[in-house]
Amino acid sequence: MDVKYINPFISSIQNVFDTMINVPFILGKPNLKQDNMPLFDISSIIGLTGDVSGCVVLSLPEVIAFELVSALTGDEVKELDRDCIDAIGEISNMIAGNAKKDFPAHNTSISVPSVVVGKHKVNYPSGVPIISIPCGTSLGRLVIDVALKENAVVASRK
Amino acid sequence: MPYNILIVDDSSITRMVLKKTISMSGIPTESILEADNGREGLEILKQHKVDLILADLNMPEMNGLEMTQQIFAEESFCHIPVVVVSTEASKTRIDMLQSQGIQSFIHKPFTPEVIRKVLLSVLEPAQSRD
Repeated sequence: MDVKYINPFISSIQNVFDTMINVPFILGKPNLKQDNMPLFDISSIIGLTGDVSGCVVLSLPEVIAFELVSALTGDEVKELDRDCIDAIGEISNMIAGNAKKDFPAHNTSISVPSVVVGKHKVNYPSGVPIISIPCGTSLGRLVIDVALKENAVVASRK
Repeated sequence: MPYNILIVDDSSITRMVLKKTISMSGIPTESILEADNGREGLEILKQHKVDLILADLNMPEMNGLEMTQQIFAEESFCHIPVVVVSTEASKTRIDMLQSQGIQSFIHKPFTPEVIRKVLLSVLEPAQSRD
């Protein structure tokens, strides 16, 4: 996958953490994911269609979900209820939406996030490398997986 | 002068975050009202004084653009500025919104500073016209 579709996610993650979550965090080096098992029990999945298609998955454990959602909303969250799940979806929505505006190809739509809780697999698009962007807070790790491909029409415009 | 702000968004989390951020921005508020969709937003406008509307675009029942069209068509509401809050920030999208009469646009994620700047840029001219 072209770095021009990964760099917008790195900038976007930084931006979302700096502006709306305000939790100290470390951004790790992106790496190639070897399987389709999410690292953690909670996944927020966003599909992309158009000039660029594929999916973005925010994968995180419960303790990090509570930390991020508490920081986002300003209320201490201790339960994985509907509001907490909506907030996890909103965080992934901000990351994907903010990254998308920096794509070189502009005709791309993002779906409403789907949040999955519990042991699960993710059906990443076949034949597309999955790039994992690791992050860490003082309480642990989370990861953003990006599996995107530029479609033939965009490639032929170059 | 404290302002009355209406937030129209189907996500309770977004409404909560917007309320928190408006509070952090230091903009004086008399009330922050909330609606779950455009239809509820119009009902609130009939019952309360509102100085500014912050609206999402994609909502069930009545979306943000449909609500805005009805607001601008109603003499008693058409002076109320509407600001769209969304993650969708393409130039095409913003141009389309401005052509529909949307005063301004806030892109998520946002900071209290951005909220303050955008809201005051819309509220102060509206206040001086009143």
